[in-house]
Amino acid sequence: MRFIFFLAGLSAGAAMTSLMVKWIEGNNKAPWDGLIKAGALLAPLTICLGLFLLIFDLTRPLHFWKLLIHYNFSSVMTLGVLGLFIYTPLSFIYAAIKFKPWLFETGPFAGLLKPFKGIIDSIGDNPAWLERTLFLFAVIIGIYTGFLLSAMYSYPLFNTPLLPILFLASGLSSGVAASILFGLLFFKSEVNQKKCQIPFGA
Amino acid sequence: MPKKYGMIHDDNLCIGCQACSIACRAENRVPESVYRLQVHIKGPEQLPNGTLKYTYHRQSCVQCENTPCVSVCPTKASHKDENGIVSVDVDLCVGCLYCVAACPYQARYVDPVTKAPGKCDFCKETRLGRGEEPACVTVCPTDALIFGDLNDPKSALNKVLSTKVTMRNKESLGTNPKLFIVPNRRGGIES
Repeated sequence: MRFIFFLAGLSAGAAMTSLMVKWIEGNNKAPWDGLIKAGALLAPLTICLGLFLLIFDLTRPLHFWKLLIHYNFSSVMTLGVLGLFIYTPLSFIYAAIKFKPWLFETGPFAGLLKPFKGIIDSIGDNPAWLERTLFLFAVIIGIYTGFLLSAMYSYPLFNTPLLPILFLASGLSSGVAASILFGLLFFKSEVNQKKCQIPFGA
Repeated sequence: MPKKYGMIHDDNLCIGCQACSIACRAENRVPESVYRLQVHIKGPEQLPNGTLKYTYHRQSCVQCENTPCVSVCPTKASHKDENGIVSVDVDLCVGCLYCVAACPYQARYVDPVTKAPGKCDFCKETRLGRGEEPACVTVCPTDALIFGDLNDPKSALNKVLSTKVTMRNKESLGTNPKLFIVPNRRGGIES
């Protein structure tokens, strides 16, 4: 459980960071582009890693698929599963749009992914509906882990309406931090001197 | 009309002999490292008149009406049947242990064999089906346990409920347990 709480928060925080920076600063503007790309990449990767580790947190990991086909709408966990059903694909599509040239043209999987190019192309480069839905579900995933714990009144410490907000805040801060780190580590070329030059006195 | 099974644990009659916990273990084949039922003994405490008293707590599922474990279960593996008995469908369980954490009475354990949570189900699978009372009730030497149908006004359970003062654990949580406790009255003014 501890992994998904951290990684889901980080994923939601990274998606929110990426989207907010994109909305404020726009694409292809150094150094912000590195941050946007890092967030777009972190969101699907960390949520997948978290969900993968979550399966091994179950005492019956081979039965995990029953979680996907049996629902109990009074359980916060079912609502979280349904939220993740929407959030995870959206985060993948958002990352695919951001890395379109690498995925479909220059990268090592270009040949393999060619059939999907049409789908990603048809969505467009800056789909407002997708970005807004992704942001909404990032917030939902960010607070979901808090609701998961606060629903248990056997622990008075957890059973407080403040907990979801705390989880969202902690997820956002870890998402921002991871995006900055990731952006500096892997997208430094986006933040290079040439692009970052501020025309002093110009 | 569906039944609504409930139980009374009389703290004044209980002697803490653990016959109930052994009978439960034998009847339900509960593995050694875990338990469905124990009687936790607290004491001795000295009363103002100089005598000693023990208090006995039945540590087991209280069969809530408003069940936290059932409402948090994402797959409905944890369920309440038409007779009000809460149990676990091992086939549906994924082992997230959300119910174990959500139970305010710490009544659930993880079965070391099936890896799914287990709990008291009033011997539903074994004795109730044969028309017998749960194992713990049958073996209690002092009749401190009374089992019956809360919907039947003539049941022994309702007779005791109408004559003795009873309480339930953690009532403030609104779980509405069906395990009633006759509290220890030793040490009171009339004792």
